Amino acid sequence: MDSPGMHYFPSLDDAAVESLLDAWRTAYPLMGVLALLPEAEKGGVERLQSVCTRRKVALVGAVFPALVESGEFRTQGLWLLRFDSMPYVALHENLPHDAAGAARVAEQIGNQIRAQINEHPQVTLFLLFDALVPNISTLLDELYLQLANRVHYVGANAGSETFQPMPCLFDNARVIQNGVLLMLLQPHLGAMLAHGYCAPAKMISATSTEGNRIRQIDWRPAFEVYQELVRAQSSVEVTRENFYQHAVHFPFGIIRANHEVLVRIPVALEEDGSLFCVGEVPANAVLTLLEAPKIDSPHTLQTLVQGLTELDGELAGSEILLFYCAGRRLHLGLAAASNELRQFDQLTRATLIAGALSLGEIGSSLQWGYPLFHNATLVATRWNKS
Amino acid sequence: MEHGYILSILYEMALVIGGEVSVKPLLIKTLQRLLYHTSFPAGFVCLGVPSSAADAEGMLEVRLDAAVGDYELAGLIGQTVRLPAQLLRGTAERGEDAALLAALPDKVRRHKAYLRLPIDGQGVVVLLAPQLPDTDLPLTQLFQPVMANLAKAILLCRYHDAYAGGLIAARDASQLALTASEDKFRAISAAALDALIMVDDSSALVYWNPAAERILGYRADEVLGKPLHQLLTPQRYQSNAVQGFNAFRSSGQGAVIGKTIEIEALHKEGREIPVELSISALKLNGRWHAVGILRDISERKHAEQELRLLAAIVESSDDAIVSKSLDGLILSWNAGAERLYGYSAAEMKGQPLSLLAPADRPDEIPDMLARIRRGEQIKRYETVRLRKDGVQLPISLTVSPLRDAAGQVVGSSAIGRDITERKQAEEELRHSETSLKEAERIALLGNWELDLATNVMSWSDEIYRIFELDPKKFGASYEAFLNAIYPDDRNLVNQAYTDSVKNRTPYDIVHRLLMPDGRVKYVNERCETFFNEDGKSLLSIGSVQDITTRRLAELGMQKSNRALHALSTCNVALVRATDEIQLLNDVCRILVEIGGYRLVWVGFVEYDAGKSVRVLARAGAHADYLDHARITWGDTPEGQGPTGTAIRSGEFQVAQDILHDPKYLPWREQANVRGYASSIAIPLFDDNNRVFGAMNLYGREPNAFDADEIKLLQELARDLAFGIRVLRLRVERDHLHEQQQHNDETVKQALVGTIQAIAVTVEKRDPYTAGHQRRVANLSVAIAMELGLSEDRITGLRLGATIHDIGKIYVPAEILTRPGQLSPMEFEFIKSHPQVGYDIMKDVKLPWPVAEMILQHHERMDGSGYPRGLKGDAILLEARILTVADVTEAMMSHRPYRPALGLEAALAEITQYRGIYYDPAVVDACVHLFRDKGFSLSG
Repeated sequence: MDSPGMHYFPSLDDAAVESLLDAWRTAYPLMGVLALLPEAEKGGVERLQSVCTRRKVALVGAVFPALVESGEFRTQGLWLLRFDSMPYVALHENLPHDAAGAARVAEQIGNQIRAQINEHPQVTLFLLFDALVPNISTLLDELYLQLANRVHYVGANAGSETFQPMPCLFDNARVIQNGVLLMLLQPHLGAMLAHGYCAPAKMISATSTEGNRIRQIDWRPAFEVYQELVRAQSSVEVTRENFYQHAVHFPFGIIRANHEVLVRIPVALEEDGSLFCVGEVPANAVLTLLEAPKIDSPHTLQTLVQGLTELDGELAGSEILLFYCAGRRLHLGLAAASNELRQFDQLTRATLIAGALSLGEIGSSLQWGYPLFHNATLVATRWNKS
Repeated sequence: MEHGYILSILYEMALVIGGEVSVKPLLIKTLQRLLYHTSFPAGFVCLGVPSSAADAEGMLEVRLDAAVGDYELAGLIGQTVRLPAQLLRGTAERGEDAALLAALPDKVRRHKAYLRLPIDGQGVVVLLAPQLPDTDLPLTQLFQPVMANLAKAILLCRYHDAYAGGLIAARDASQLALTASEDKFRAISAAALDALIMVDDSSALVYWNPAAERILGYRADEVLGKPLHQLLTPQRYQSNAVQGFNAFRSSGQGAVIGKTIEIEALHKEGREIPVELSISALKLNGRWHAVGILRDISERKHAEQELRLLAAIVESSDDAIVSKSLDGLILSWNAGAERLYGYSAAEMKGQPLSLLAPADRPDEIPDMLARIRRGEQIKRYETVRLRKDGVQLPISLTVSPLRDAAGQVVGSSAIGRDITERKQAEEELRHSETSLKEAERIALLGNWELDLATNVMSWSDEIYRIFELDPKKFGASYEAFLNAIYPDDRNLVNQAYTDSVKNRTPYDIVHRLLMPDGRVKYVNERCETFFNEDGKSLLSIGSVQDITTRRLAELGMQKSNRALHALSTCNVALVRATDEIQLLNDVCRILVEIGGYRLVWVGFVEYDAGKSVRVLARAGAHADYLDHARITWGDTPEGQGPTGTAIRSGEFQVAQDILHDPKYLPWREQANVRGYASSIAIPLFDDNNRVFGAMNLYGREPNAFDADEIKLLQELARDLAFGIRVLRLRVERDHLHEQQQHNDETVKQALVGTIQAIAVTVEKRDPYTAGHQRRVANLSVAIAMELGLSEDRITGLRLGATIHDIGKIYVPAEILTRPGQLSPMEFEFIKSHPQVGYDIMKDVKLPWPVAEMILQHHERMDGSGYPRGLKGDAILLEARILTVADVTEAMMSHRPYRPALGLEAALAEITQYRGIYYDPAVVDACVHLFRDKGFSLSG
């Protein structure tokens, strides 16, 4: 029987990590690892880099608010996920925030990826962004222009849940921020994404935006309108102080003609009254306020598991990588969110589910779907299986 | 579906479409938003679908204007593609038709569903998906106004693109024209040899071409904007120049405007340079500018100066310098001519030159004049001239044509030098040179000269002979000299010469020459260079002596000594060797360090598929050579080298010149870069005269191995092979010995184990004597240690004591264990046990007299014991010890026929019969043990 391709360490123990790496490398000489760390363990990145470098193991990884393990959220420990054969990876930092710069970077990435893609038709571009990159949707649109449906797209955002800048993406030698970590998995069938947020009710327009900042809604200061909307619909008084606490329950939805919404959770309030979201809001996008949105958890999980099964076959006994949105956990509460994790565990009957609490997710609810940047979703993919 | 919801989508689409001004981004952005809203992952746009009929397969050729989300289609943007007419034509439609979409240039055939949205006469948008995305919106109707809007936007964007394209084309054209014009001016200005300078009406420099940089030393960026006069005008002209410029500023007039003047200008380095300056005025934007063209006339000035100097030199020269017209009339006559020929200038000017010709050379001067007319120069022509006093004077003449400004020959100048003294010296020299050449030939000594002023080299005949060059084919040259030097020595010779010139010291070196046929010669080269008073080198004079014979003899001697020394050191290593690999490494190292070989290695024959040669030891320079050289003894091209051939043939193999030995081809390049010039491989033989390896040596030079040396090396190889055989035998012998010892010990241990097992069996039959033998053995060992017996004897004693009652195995158990008095016959049975024990053990081969100990352990010192009635020293010491221990233990232990008598009774018994029955020393030791050392019987 093959050794498991994922391993959770309850604490960062150099000797234990070295021992696992040696064992893995004996069986898989070309291996590399993806490391997921919780924010509380970010100080361990340097140690991990030196252990991997010492053992001559290629390393990439990211720091998230928390990890997902055995149906629980963990703020300590370390996940090591083995690539049986180290794929092409690239760490891009200082991503430009303007449209022309995004197009230029996407073209560079497109050229690099095209040069690496092999014959296999099923290839996945796995992207881990720093959550503070303000133009992820634009970058995705530009990447889609470059690579179209030649690859599947899956990804998540790393960083601090406080949304303070933090170097959160790394390889053997570097730890960067305002960047993206690209991994080209081939062959790989992609991922599945689901959120189960119900349809919107009231329409508003984001009449002035800048990347992931909404400056005006309906031609008025964004926060002022937001306060009014929340007050009118739930009698809750949103202030600067309680903003994040309430905002996770009143996210925006960007309307789509297929009656789906793209969730955008406002996570910070700027000095000038503009609202800072994780993920861009296009200028003049028609928004809805998802007033205390009801989440259909069973349907979400059912959709996710069914999609994954259709994509990759029977899940029992498999190893799965899962990203769970931090905003979703805040909205549902820790107990309900943990319950979703456990239900997912039971539904898949997977041997191991490794994952992290993410600050935004990339994917599609259909295979070969248009890759979009979401909030409040679950993204799951099979690990080490073509 | 809410009205507002749809309106909001239309609103957003309208804003996206309205926000673009160019066709390409308009189509891409529109496609992206359509895909976003509909969940279709891919789509394309064709602007203009032809109305012509589709081809036989129902396909239309259309231009693909935009595509998003499909990798293959995106790669075809801007190209003409074949697409199904049924997909492109028709009203807005949403449907699934896998067969129709299979005709798309999508290799994976992923698309099964489509949404067609005609663009109001401007083409069509087609969205594609693997399956029809869910929606409850009437997408075909919903997007109709969007498409209408898009159609108009496309028209507007096309106008904009065309307009912008026109503007850009016009801008590019004018830009091109401007650039071309600027380039032309820049090229002319850059190519100009004269400095081109412009100043504005404030006298600030506004133009400065590359020639100005070259002539005046300043870069353009250093001078532009700076005042002209401050930079370039010498102090003495400044006042006038500034005054003149003030007038020019307002009128464009001035004393020097429109003129060419010669003046001095200041160079950046502060020195003055003579220049020719032409200044003109130019009005730009209503302001007067001055343009100056400035030419550096330093050379011309210098030439003029030189001309004046030359005239002075002519006049003061010791040589006769005479100029004449083409018809031979004398035009000038210097003081030197007056002194040489005795005529004054006044006498000779206007006279024919033939006045100086002797009567026997009437044609000489006319011939020379004819040659001059043809423009020829006559150099160092030696002849005779008549002095005024009638004396014939040998002179050397150099006659050159004189030309006018147009280059026409108009006369000639002749320099005449008195060579009377030289002619005499030459005659003497001719005589001595003949002698010298003969001496050189005998001494194999040649000489050479290098005139450093002219770089002309000359060699004596002997040098040609030493270098074996034909003087008719090879001129004396530095290249010919270098070519003849052995390549490794070229640096040495060059360095010696360079150092000699630099340090002004002669040099004296020995180096090699490489003959075309590969022979090496040794020469002794000496050289000295001569310098003028200013320290300038003038002439190098050197000699080359062929010392090959002497040197070869010396080298041969050195080599033989070195080889003998190496051989003797190797033999020391052979004698001292204990390890085969160490020996091989030592021999290799000695041959390199003492023998002076460049590389030495030893390889053993491998009987693998590739018949490889395994390198076991190596030493020397660049021994990594062996890591790359594939060496085999197989009959393949790689096996034809010296090593492979030596192993196969059993004969030594020499490559005297690796560079030219065809067998060395596979290794030549690598050997050459490592400085291996020759090699020898000598086979190593085992006892059966079979080759088991080869010793390989590499020399630094070709022909490094002569017959004597090969003989020595063969001897060494035989010694080495012998040494290896001896070492292997020694290792084998040691191994056998070790194994024998191990076997002996194993047998001994097995016997001891067996005997102990027998003892236990005996005791099992007689519970009353159970442990008796063990206790007797313990006491015997303690007594023996007290008596100072050797460890080995004690081991034998322990064994004998352990089984001393083994004979009781034949005594019926009921006799042994029955309480009460024994009958005489029963007692006889008991008494037989020493003999029975002896019989059992006598054939067991043990290193100790165990059987004797058993037989004698009931003998007594006075001869009263049994079975043989031995006395005193006839009884083994071990048996005497055993007897005392046996009695002591027996009395202290319980017996079937009596209770234990105790220690005191036992010691009393042996003390009472000390010296009678029992050995006194043994008794004393036993008593001492119990009394003084607290010994006790246990177990």
